[in-house]
Amino acid sequence: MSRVAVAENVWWRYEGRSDYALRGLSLEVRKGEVLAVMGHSGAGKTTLALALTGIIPQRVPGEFKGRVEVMGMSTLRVDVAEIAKRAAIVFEDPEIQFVMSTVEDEIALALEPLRLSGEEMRERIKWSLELVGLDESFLGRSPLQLSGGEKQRVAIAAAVAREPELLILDEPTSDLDPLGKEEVVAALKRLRDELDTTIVLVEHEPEYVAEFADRVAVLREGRVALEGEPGEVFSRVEELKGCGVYPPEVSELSARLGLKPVYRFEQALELLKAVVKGFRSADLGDGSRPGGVLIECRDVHYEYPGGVRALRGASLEVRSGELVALVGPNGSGKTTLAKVMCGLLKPSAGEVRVLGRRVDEYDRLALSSLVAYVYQNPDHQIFNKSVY
Amino acid sequence: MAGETQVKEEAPKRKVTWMHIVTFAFATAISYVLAVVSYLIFPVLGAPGVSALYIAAAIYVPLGIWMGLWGCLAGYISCFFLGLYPSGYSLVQSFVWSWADFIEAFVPALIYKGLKAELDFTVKRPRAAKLLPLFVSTGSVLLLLGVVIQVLWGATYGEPFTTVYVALVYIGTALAAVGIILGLVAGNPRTWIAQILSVIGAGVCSGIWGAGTLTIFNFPPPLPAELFWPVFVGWVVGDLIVLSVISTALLVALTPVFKRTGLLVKGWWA
Amino acid sequence: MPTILGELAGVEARSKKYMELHVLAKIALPLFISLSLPFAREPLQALALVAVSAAACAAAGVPLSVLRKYLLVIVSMSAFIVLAFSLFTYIPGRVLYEVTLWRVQAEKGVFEWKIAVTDAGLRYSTAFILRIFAMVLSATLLLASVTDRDLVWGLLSLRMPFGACVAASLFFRGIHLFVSDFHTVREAMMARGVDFERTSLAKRFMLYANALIPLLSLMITRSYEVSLALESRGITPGSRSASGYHVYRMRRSDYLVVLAGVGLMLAFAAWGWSA
Repeated sequence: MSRVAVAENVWWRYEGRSDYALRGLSLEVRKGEVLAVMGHSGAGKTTLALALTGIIPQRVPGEFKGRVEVMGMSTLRVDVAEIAKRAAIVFEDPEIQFVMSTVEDEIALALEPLRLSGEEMRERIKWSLELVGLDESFLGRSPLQLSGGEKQRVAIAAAVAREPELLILDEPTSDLDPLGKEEVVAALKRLRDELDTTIVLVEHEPEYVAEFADRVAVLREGRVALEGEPGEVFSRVEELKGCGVYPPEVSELSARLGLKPVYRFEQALELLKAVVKGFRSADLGDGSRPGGVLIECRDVHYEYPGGVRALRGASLEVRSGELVALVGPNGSGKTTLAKVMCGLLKPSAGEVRVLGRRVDEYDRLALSSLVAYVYQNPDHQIFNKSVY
Repeated sequence: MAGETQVKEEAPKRKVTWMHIVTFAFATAISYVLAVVSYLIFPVLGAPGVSALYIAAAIYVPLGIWMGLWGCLAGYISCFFLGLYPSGYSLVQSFVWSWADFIEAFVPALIYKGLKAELDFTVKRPRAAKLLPLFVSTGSVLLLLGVVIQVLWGATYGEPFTTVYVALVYIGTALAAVGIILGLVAGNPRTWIAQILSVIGAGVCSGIWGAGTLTIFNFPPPLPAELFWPVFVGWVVGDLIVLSVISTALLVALTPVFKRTGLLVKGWWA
Repeated sequence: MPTILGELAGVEARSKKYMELHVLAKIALPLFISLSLPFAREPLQALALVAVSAAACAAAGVPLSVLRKYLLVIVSMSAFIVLAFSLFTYIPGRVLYEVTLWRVQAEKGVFEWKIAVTDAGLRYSTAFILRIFAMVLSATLLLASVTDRDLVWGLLSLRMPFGACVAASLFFRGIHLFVSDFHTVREAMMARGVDFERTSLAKRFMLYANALIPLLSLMITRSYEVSLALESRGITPGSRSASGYHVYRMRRSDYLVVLAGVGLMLAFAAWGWSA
């Protein structure tokens, strides 16, 4: 099988860092396959993705050694813009990929390097949207107002509109809620079935890798530690865990039960039907309750300026010693409820009490020493030059 | 096949990349947001768009030092839109007035390049670095007030205005001189002297254009010419405080980041 | 698509016909109003210009209640204009009111600082104040009607480099992003115990100054990520659109609006010179 991309003994160090992100990495990408790249945080997955597009070393300051060729083009000699006409990448965060004000303009910008006529561009834009399961009504919408799954699908549409020979997807579902993930996975299935392209999928979720990948490469500390077909790689459970990667749960289950290695849910189901005869009820423990109430929300309502009603009669108790998870789809009010509990937002109706006292009876300093809030993005809450 | 080695910092050609464009666009946006916030929180009543403490300058002035003309353009464009909203100046008035902020970023960039000062803001004596803004800004303000008094009244009426002028000039000069000495010992002398000169030069030069286009020359000036001196003094004092306190702190904190990301430009554009 | 005024102040031009005009027409009208300002030196001329600006705003569907957003600007400027013509200078004319505030026997004469209100001073003040209204209305008309998409399409259709087009788009996007970041950083400070409402002005200044560090760090991180995404698109900052996609032609209505603007400016110029 011919190679679409090859990386040979690649070393890469980002400017200002003392350690190498890639240490002698060697990998090939075969034509037509879906190659999944897995690894712990900091293993070099995104760095590898950038190296396959030529962005590293051409646009990112640092020290590069080795050889990377993509469709026969050396990433040291051929400009990124030329490589980008044949290789496309979709990043983890869909928002950073949008620079224009409408979906239509976004995809049109991606098609500019191909120098197509206006009519051809219009056709391609519609086609790429259909491929990811979106219709023409999205053309005039702002990408920033879409749901997470829709945003990522628009980003994918902008990438595939060019009909790239190599498509790199860098954790396309990481930033999404479950519904968003489902939408993107459905789009990826359509891509795999309808588009004649080679895909490199950087992914944490082993279930998606199991579903899509023809081959898996596991990175560890800047090198390829494991490589092979999914079944083969996922059967090496302990080695995978050593690389900071968790196999599909069914793989781990079958390994622990000493059964034939499996990596797909359907395979596990078949196996278990043959093996398991009955079930015993399990002892679930004594159900001991945590301590007294720390925070109490009673029938809390919150409406944002602009009329969005984020909370409609939410009631919750948080007790001492508990770990309470607030789960729900995007827009369900999780962050709003958390901020109301910290006193950062004032409810339009209802009551919030901390240690029995109403939240508005505390001054800001006293309340912040009882209830602390940590934001999703650490950059929003670092104010000084040193940790101390 | 032998491995090919490339070390980025030895790349022979500097060119404008998307990183420059995007940083410039976002810096302009953040300058505009801060300009609006500064004006709404610390307004100079009677002179729309002029803020007693124009925090936006702390973004585009250091950006001019780091990225040359990108910072100057960021200052210009953010001021242009500030002129339209919430200041309410017309398109042409704003077009002319906004060159004040271009000048405000250009003068420091020119001073650093002219003095060939390295962007080495490592602080060897933290106390000196902390006291430096106080002495430089206070000294400069007193000097400025003294000059204004002499121009407006001392030259025409003589005493007692002349005595006030002389006293302010002596005290102001002394304080500024102490500030310069502190600058020489705070860290790299050339860098810190360039910074002191930049703070003073940026404030005065942009103040002349800014106050001038609001009161004396524009299409037309939105305010009467008689308001030039009050607007000028308010402008310069505000700039001195913001540039000496905040932009110096940002230069110290973020210059290493700009160096690391390759954003620092050696010329005016790349 | 939101306009700048829509994004910041919730005010947008509501007339569909006006919003469909070419961006050049939408810029030309406020431009020619602003070019007419220097000729409106007398109160009657300034009043006429205010009337024209108000009519243009009304035609564009911009609610005149937008002037409330500029109330502080208008009132403070008006007060200082009146002070300028009565306190900082003397405009010769019939004296309506005079009082000496400070009198000093100086070395070379008597220095007097007084308030002197004359009819000529009042006339000048009126013209200046009316011009403020015209200024504000022309700026509002521009910002409430021009969207970022208008500007970007305009630049693309003129085959400007992609660097300029994307920068224009990112500037508008950046405003939205950093307003949101600013609120989040402010909220994060409140979560650490900062009470903005009960803080002195000086302390508030230092707090906002401290907020710049996370804001700028975020800016640099975002710039890095967005620039990587742009690099992967295959376009360079200096390259230009070669497709036939961004065709943005002016129609008859656009030319009419531009001509109306030119006519307005010439009319005021003629009136100004003849007066």
